Amino acid sequence: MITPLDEERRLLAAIRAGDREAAEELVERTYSAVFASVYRLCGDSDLAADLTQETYQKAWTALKGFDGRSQLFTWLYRIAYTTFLNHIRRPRRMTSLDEPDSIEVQDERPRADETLADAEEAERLRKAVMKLPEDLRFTVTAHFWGGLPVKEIAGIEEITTVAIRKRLHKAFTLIEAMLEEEEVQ
Amino acid sequence: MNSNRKADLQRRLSMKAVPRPPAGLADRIKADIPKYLEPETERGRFSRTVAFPMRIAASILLVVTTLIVTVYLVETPHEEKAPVAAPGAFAPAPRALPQPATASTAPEEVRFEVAEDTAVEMPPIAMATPPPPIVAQRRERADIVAPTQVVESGVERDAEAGIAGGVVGGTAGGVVRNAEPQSVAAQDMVTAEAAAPAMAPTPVAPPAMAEAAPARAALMATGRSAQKMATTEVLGISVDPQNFHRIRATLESGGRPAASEVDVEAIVNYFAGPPARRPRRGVALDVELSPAAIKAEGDHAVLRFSIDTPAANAPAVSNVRLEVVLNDKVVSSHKRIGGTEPLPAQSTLPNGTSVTGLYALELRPNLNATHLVATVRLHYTLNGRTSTISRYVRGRDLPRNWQLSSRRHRLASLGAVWGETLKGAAPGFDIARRAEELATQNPKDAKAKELAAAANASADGGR
Repeated sequence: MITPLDEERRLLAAIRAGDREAAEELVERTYSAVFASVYRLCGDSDLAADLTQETYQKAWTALKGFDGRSQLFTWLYRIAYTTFLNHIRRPRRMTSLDEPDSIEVQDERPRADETLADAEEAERLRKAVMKLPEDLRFTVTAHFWGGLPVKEIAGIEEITTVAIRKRLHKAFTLIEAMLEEEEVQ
Repeated sequence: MNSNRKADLQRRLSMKAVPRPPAGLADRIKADIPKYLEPETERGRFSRTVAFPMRIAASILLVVTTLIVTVYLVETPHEEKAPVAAPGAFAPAPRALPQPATASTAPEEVRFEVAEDTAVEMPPIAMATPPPPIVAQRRERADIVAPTQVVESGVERDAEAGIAGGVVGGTAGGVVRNAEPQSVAAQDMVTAEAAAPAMAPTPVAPPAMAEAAPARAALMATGRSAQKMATTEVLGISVDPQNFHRIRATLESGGRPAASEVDVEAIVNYFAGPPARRPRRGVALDVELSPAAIKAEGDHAVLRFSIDTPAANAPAVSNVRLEVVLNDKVVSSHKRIGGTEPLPAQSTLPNGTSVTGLYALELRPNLNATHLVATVRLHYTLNGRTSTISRYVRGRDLPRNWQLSSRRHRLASLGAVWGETLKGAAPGFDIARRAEELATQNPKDAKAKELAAAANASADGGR
């Protein structure tokens, strides 16, 4: 999923030199992971595909600004996450996080590893995560849905790994409280 | 939240239930790849990386420079208009010729200065008005002969006609300057606490200064006692540590030292000692103002100056001259504790030298925080370059009480009170109690313990 560092550097150098094939190789290596991350954020396969495409469009433009201090996928995930946030903040296209019908998974392909109960529970969990404060939400989604290590997230947020772990702990507490509250209702 | 719940939540968050990307997504993304990916040159990337830190550094530099300039402008007093002249280069300023003694306007400052001898002709010096009582009292003491020159209210008086030819004075900025022949420094034995080899007699004075030798002889004959000259001195200030040891031995044997045996300057320097950290090179000037250690004869203040040179292995400073300017607007009277004025120049300050001097100042009641109380300047030459260290003491530098001043200052001022008590120049006070307080605050401070013990001994035996 995540390209080894040396391979990343080679790809980046080639892309910056104008090598289109290197750019295509980068897409092949990373687009599935980006799509998965966005899908977990929005819960909609088509929307996730659109947002993934938009993520790469932004990435090509922003490639000049990538300084290589973080891993390439971390950088892409940050763009994808911002793209998702921009999407849900758009007035007319905003996806409500509270209305169950609006975020129903439209993908009709079979999901062999999921039961219906699991899907419902996953959806409840996703909503709870989406209700977290922004800093906690990014930390949880980047770590569990983006697959980013704590150190990488700390680098992005420019805080210590201890602070990231504290964020995660706080997020767990809030999520659990929200889930329990929902069960009571 | 218990660990099981936490682990369960983590497991649920990590569950992979993601469909495969739609077919053709990769192609859609690839189609968006720009035809011409803009290659970025290494130089461009480097510039972009460096630009931000450089901007920050430039901003910091700008702020620091602005602060320094502001502080310099604020700290430079308007009263200080006297140019800092190189040693031996005092030229009388036209505006600052001595005023006749009958002049009714009082000058703003009282300045003490010892300069190297020069051949500059001076107009006749006006006779001074009578000195203040505190100075008169000091002059009457048997062991210290009247100072060569007394400067008061901006008028200088040549106390000894015999040395008039060797004394050259200049005035600048409305302030009277006095000069003492350089040969004073040349003949004095400069002592250092550590560097014995460096304590050799100072080099021979320049020819112009050597001309003042007769004046020096006259000074010796009329001004200073033989005992004073025999002690080790720096800038004319006794720094002989043996003086305290002799006094202590006398006290321990149950006697009381004679007044002539007590050298207050030496006691001050014994207790002031060297600084906690000596300068690495050049010379350091430390100036501090405090209330009196023990209140007596009014609420006077104590001004301390300490000059320190590096411990070793540093070029020695030469042509050292100390200048103390007191603001007459806020200082009504003064005296140099245990010593005379003016201070002679010193041709060389060896490494390991520390010297401390004290002034007792009677401050006017109108003193506020911004008033300039004193300016202390140290002129010296290092590696052929003449420099001046200036210290400005303002009203805000006077702490509320003596205990707030530095330990060196407290030891020196308390030692001075004790010394003057021994001499009978000041009434006895509870010096031992103060010294014991100092010793209690820092049990490792041997000097404070010594002072407490000596003060106790003198209190028991003498009174």
